[in-house]
Amino acid sequence: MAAIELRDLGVRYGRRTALAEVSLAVPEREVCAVLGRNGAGKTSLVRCLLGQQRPSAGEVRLLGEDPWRARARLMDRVGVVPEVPDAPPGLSARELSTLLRRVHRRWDDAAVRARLERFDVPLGQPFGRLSRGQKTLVQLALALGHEPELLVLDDPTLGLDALARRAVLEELVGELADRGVTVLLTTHDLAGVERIANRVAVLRDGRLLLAEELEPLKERYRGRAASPLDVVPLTLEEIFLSLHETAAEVPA
Amino acid sequence: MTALVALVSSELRQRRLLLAASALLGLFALAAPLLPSLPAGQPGELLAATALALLAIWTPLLALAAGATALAGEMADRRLGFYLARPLSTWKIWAGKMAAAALLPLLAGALVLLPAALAGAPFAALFEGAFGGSSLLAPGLAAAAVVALVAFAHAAAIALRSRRAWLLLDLAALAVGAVLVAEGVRVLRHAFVPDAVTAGASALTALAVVALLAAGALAVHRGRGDLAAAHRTLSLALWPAVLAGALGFLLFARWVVAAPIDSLELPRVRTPHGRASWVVVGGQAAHRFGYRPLFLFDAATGRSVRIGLEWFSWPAFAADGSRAVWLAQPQERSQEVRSLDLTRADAHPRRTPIAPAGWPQWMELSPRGERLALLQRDRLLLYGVADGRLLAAVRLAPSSERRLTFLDEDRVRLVEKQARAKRFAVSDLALGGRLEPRGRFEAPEGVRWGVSPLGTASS
Repeated sequence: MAAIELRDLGVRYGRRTALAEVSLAVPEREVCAVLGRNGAGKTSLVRCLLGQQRPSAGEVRLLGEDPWRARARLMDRVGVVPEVPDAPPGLSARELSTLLRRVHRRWDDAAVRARLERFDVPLGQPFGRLSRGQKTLVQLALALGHEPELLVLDDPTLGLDALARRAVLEELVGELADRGVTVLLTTHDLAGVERIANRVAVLRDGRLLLAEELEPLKERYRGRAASPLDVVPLTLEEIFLSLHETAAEVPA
Repeated sequence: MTALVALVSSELRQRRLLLAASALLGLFALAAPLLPSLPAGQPGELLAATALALLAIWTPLLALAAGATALAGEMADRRLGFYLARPLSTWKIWAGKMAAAALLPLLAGALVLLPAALAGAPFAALFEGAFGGSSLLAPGLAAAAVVALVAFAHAAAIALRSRRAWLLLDLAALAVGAVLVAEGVRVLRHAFVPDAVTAGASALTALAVVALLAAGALAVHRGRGDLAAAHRTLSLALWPAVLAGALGFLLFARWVVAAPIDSLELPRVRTPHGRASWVVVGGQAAHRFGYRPLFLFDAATGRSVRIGLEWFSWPAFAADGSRAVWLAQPQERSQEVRSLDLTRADAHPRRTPIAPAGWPQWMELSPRGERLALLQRDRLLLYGVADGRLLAAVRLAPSSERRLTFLDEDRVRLVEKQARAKRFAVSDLALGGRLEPRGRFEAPEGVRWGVSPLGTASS
C-alpha cells in the first residue's frame, strides 16, 4: 500500500492556482524528495497532505485515510518538521516534550532528550530564543518523539549552516536504518537529499513535472546523450537545473 | 481530557509573566491608601475601591489581548501548524486555547484582588450591596463578561488579520444589526418599558456571545491554517445568527407594544362626560414587562383603538361624543395631537396639525370637538382642531393649580388657585380675545376640586 497517494490534487487561493492535477504515490519505507522552485506549490502540497489545507480538487490519502477528515487520528502516526519553526516560543524544549507526552498516545521522552543533547540544544531555553538551526533540530526531535511511521519535512534544511544540515540528514538516515520510516521531504538542498532519497518529484508552477525513482531517472538522462562528448546531467541538481533552465521534456 | 488540560496549562505557562504582573498590581493596591493625594476615608473601602479599579482596567485589557492572540495570531503567523501536526482535533485546539484565554484574565483578576482581600478589604459587602444581596453574582457576571470579551476579540482578530474583502461584509452586517437593535430599543424606550429593554438586550447579548464562540470554533475547524478560509467561515456562521437575533429583538419590541386590550391586568376604566359610547381603558399588559398601554374602547361595538401609554395619553372628549383627542409622542421630545372620529365605526386615529412645544398641564376639547384648549407653561392656548390654527393665546400669572372647561364652542373658562392662598380666580377666554375676569371665591386648604362642564367649580 502506498503511504502517500495524491490523485489530481488541486489547490487554489482565490484566483491563483497553487497546485493543479498533481498525482503522486509514495510507497511505504521510501524517501521521496519533492523539489521545486520557490512558489512551485511544495508547501501547499505538504499542507494538503497534513490535513491543514482542504484541496480544491482531487483526493489525498495518507496512510490510507483522508487527512482532512482524519487529521487528528493520523497525526499520531506522522511526524512533521515545518518549513518555518512553529513551536510556541515561550516554552523550552523540555516543556515542549512534556506537553507532547500528554498529547500523543506514545511518547519517548528519554529519546527526545537524548537527541536534543546530541544536537547540543539547551533544554531549558525558551524555543523563541534558540537559533534557527537549533529550532529545526528541536522540531525534528519532537517529530520523532512518538516514533512515527511517516515523516513529512517541509524544507527542513532551509537556512541551516553546514553542521546543522548534516545533523538533520544524519538523523534521518539513522531513522531510516533503524525503523524503515517513510519520508516525504521538500527541499532546496539537492546535494544533501540525493544521499537519502530514492524517489523524486519535481513541481513547476503548481504542476507535477515528474515523479519517479531517482536511479532510473538518472539512467534515462545518461542514455539521452547523443555522443560521449555531450554534457549529460548526472546529479539530481543537474537534472533539476536542466528541467528548469531549458524547460526540456523529460526523456521517455 | 489530559491533552486538553495539557494544552490549557501550557498556554498559561507561556503567559506566566502576565500573571506575575497581575500579582504586582495587587500589591500596588495595598499601597494606595498610603498615598497622600487620595481622600481620607475608610481604609478598607479605599483599598477595595483601588483594587477593583485596577481590576476593571487590567482584566478587560487582558481578555481582549488574550482573545485576539490566542488563535488568530497563530493562524496569521503560520504557528498553528504545531498543534495541527498533533493528534488534537480542531475543536480541542480551539477549546484549549480559548479556555486558557478566558482563564488568564480571571486568574489575573483574582491575583489583583488577593492582596487586598487578605488585608481585609470588604469585597463581599460591596458586592452584596451592588448586586442585591448575592455576593456570587459579581464573580459570575465578571466571568461571563470575560468570556464575551475573549470571544469578541477572537472573532475580531480573525476578521481584521485576514485583511480580506469579507471585512466589508462584516461591517455592513454589523451596521444592519445595529440599526435593527437601535430601532428595537427606541420602540421599547418610547413605550417606557425598561425591563423589556433589559430582558431583550440580555438575551441578544447571550445569543451574540454563543454565536461568536460557535463561529470562532467553526472558523478554526474549517480554516485551520488558512486565515482567509477561517474568516469566510466565521462571517458565514456569525452574521446569520446575529442578524436573526437582532431581527428577533426588534420583533420582540414590536410584540411588547402590540399588547391587545384583553391582555390588560386590572384595567382602569374612565367614562368620559358626554354622549359617546366610548370609554378609556388602561393598565398593565400581562407578560409584557410592565408595558402600560391605553385604549379607547367602544362599549357599543367592542372595537378598541390603542392610543398610547397609560402614563400620559389620557384623551379629552367632545361633549357631543363626536371626537376624542389625545397627545402622542412619535419621537423623543416631539409631541403631536391625534384625534379619532368617534361617530364612524371604521375611523382610525389621525394626526392633527397641532404640535405643542412641551407637555401640556391640561387639555380640553370643545363641546362639538372643533376647538382644543391647552394649558402649557403658564399659557392658555386655543386651537382649531381641523386646521391647527392658533385662535387665542394668553400668558397667565403663576398659579399652583388650574382647571379648564369649555362654556360653549368659542369660550373657555379657566379656574385658577392662586399661589400660597385659599383663593380661586375664575376667568373666560373667547376667540381672539383677552382673558376676562369673572369672579373669585375661597375654599378651605387641601380639598380636591374640579370644574363642571357648566363652568362651576366644585370640591
